[in-house]
Amino acid sequence: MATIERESHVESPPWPARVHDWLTTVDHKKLGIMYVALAMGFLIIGGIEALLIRWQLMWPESRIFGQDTPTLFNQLFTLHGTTMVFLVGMPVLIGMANYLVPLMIGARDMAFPRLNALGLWTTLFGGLVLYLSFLTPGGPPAIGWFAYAPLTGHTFARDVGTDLWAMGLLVSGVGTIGAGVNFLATILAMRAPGMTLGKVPFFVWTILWTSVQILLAIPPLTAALIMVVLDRQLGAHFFDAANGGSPYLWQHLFWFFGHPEVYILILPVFGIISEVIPVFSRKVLFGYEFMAAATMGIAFIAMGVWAHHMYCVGLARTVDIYFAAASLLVSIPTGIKMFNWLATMYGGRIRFTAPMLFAIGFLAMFLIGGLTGIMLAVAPVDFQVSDTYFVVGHFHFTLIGGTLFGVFAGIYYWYPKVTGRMLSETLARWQFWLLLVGFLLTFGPMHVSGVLGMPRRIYTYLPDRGWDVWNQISTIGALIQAPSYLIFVWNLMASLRSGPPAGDDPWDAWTLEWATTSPPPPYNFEEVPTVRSRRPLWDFKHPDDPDWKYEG
Amino acid sequence: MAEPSNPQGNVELPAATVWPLVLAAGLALAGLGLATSALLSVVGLALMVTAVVGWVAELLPGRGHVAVPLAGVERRPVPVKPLPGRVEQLRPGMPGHRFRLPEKVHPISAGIRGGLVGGLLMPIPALTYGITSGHGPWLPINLLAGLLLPRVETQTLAELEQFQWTLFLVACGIHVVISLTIGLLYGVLLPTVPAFPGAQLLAGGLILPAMWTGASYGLMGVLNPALREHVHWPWYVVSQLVFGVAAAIVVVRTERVAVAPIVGRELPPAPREDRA
Amino acid sequence: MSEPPSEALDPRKVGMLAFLVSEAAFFGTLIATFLFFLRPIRSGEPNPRDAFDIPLVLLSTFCLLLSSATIHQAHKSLLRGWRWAFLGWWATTMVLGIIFLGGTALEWSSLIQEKQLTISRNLLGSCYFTLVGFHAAHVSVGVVMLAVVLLLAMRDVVTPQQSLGAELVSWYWHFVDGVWVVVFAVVYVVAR
Repeated sequence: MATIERESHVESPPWPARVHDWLTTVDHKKLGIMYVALAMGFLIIGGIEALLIRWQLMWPESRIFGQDTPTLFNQLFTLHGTTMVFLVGMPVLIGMANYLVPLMIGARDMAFPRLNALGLWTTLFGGLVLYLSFLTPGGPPAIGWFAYAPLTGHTFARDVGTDLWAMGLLVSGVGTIGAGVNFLATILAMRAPGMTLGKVPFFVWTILWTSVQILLAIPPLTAALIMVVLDRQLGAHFFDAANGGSPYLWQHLFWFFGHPEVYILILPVFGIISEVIPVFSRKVLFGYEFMAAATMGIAFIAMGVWAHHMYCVGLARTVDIYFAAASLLVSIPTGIKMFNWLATMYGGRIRFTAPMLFAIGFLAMFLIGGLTGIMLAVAPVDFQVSDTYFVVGHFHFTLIGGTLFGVFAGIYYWYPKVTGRMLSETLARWQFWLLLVGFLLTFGPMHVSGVLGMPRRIYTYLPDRGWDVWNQISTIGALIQAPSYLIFVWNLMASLRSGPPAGDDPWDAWTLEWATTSPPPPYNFEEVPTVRSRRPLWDFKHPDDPDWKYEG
Repeated sequence: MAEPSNPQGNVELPAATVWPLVLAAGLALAGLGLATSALLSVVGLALMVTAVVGWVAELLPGRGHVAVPLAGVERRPVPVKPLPGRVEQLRPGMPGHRFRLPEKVHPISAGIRGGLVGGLLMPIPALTYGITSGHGPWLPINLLAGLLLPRVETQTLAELEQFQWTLFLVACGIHVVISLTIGLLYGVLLPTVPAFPGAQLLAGGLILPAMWTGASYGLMGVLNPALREHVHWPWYVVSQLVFGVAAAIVVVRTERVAVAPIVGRELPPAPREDRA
Repeated sequence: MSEPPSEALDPRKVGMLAFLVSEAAFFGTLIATFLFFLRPIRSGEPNPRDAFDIPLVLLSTFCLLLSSATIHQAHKSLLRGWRWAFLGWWATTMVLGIIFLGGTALEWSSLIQEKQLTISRNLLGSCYFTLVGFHAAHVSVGVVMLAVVLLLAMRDVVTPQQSLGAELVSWYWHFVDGVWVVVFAVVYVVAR
């Protein structure tokens, strides 16, 4: 009987009805899936841009696009940076949080489901506005992702591409702020009975602080972008040095957003890693309270370190010293996290399945990115290597080695919950090793070419600089990485149909999302369970030895 | 908001709505229009107003929600199966225990002795090179000092072949420090190498020296390319191997001592492990 | 140990507060920019000392501050079930808001036509019109929200039992008033 009914459910309505369903949905799970899908789409676009950049740099004095190469190269790295930060990094994390936060805290939906939908669509349309610049006569903006004045001034960027860049970011910023508001309200006011703020799953805790950062960091960007638009459209003078304006102000405003932004891109990943490592080490997260305090510490310190991106504009000596010291402080809470993850794994019964593989990859790669970050925080070192490939290598280690590895760990971990199917382990291993090797080959040598003095954003270089071999290794690494992303996308799509059924709780995990079906019904939980510890499912599975006996 | 399901087996959820999509489209069009043509902005604003009106209407009490029926019984979550009894901690000998630390290690003195012996033997090939190549014994020593001292690379080859007091002292210092450090590292690392015959000699005598030789070749190219020109790399490799083999033999031949047991102690209950 | 945490907080209130925090960050940026560009202005250019018509601004400031008091009264009346008092105070708030906007309109027209201060004239113009303009935009949005609540109240949708919407609108209104106090201090006092 049951099988027949199941099949009748499988039969889906005609496609216009399904499209309508997805376009009008306010379900946090569908919105989360669409956020992640959007991010994957833009990841491929941004990746193609990166490959073109690498191909152009493979040989000295090459011009792969002929006469237009310099302009096109500028446009490519502008779009690559903007896309990866605003249309891949933030959407994929907001999407995963969207899907998981209500499930993890035992809620039926987000606090503001319609606002949630608005956030998704503004992100999408913001991205489309940006990419519409391809259709304009001047093409996309060529200003770099941090768009320093006066490059955005009307004098230097006469085409409409720069306006579309600003508009796209403004529109998608509205959605990001909405998401921040939504997460805060959901996490602070909609937790299951018994789940105090000290008992939320760690991912939820990191999303809480990410939201605080969103609320404090995105509005300054909005204001600064509005000033750019006013300068360009109405002739205001904010960043126009000829009339008393200050390009320097733009740098302050942009980095006041920009630095918290990099923590917006990494804090949720710390959350993912803190969910994956305990489950696959079969131990509780070591030092939850210290981890929680470290997250808060990072969120606060991150608001006061922005000018370490600006040492080279010639700040006052005291300002340099303050910002160097404050930036170095970040390494303390981050170090606490690193050691706590290791302590969680120490002596555990580790399962080396795909999520754990990527989590360990994260630990190793992010560590390198963190260490080069400490080097760059020291002002004199930064004077030497600022705006060289050393910096490019550094932040790709944090954004790919950190954010992306963590996102992959999370997707391998939660995909069975989202779809009811397991992903292929074999493909996951192929993806992991290709990505790891390709990634190291791409971004490791950049540190060397950076120390040798190769500036970022140059479209080509002379053959006598000793940079050729490092660039060639980088490009070969990029070519090795590329198939890993295709394998991942293929795995996602193929497993949807042919993956083995996952069941409710394939990993024997401990947080509430594994208590409902895979995929969960629209209402998430029939009855919302009462929570007594940080691992509610452990308590249900081991009634004689529950966690709440041990937690303070 | 976590309201319990009502007696009919329905759950109140917000209804699907198109207005967020319309509002976002309106916003994007309005922005696009500001950059291109005012007409687009007008259309965008009209869309936004329509969407806001529709949205507010759905916020009124009694609207904007639908009752979703509970899923069929066969599509409900499988109840969690409680396991009786306390949960044991993972201990050595249990399946799944993958905690491997060497139970016996070399004493610290072994590392020091290994470093010293290696350090005493290493100059032999280096000096042999200096003498046989005709550059004299001081060239390799002066080059070593150039690791630390600035402007050594600006000296001419003839100058580098001369004996220089400062360079000699600095080179001796560097040599002693590095030899001892690597010797100590050998004492710690070699016991962790898998236990098949000759594995420790292979690691200490060949693999590790090859790794640091490669690293110093690459690093010197970045940090001090001029200095790298003077180094005769085949002989350099030979002297590293001599050091490695000597230090490894000395370390491996010392008696190992048992480490204080750190496993099996009663741990506080907080870091709990799953043995279910 | 396991007290229910959720009951104390209403997500809609938390959401409004969070939104206001982001608004504060937004205005904070505009105000910081205004202060960043405070510097002597070349003679002959419009400058803060001569350009602004202080009596007019004081009058509209007074209206806006008064409206904070009236909306507070309106909310109190709503909770006590005094329907007409609520409607009266609420409508008064709206009128005061509109008077404030009228004052801003008068100020702008005199600035643009008599003092020749526009957004592109100099940095004072850029900063002033951006800051005051965005504040006025927020007041306008507030007036629209006040109007919507008034309409709904006349149809008996806003009641003592369903007063949260009105309360949240009043929070927004208080916030916009508070921002104006800072804007006033910065633009009309400090800048002189």
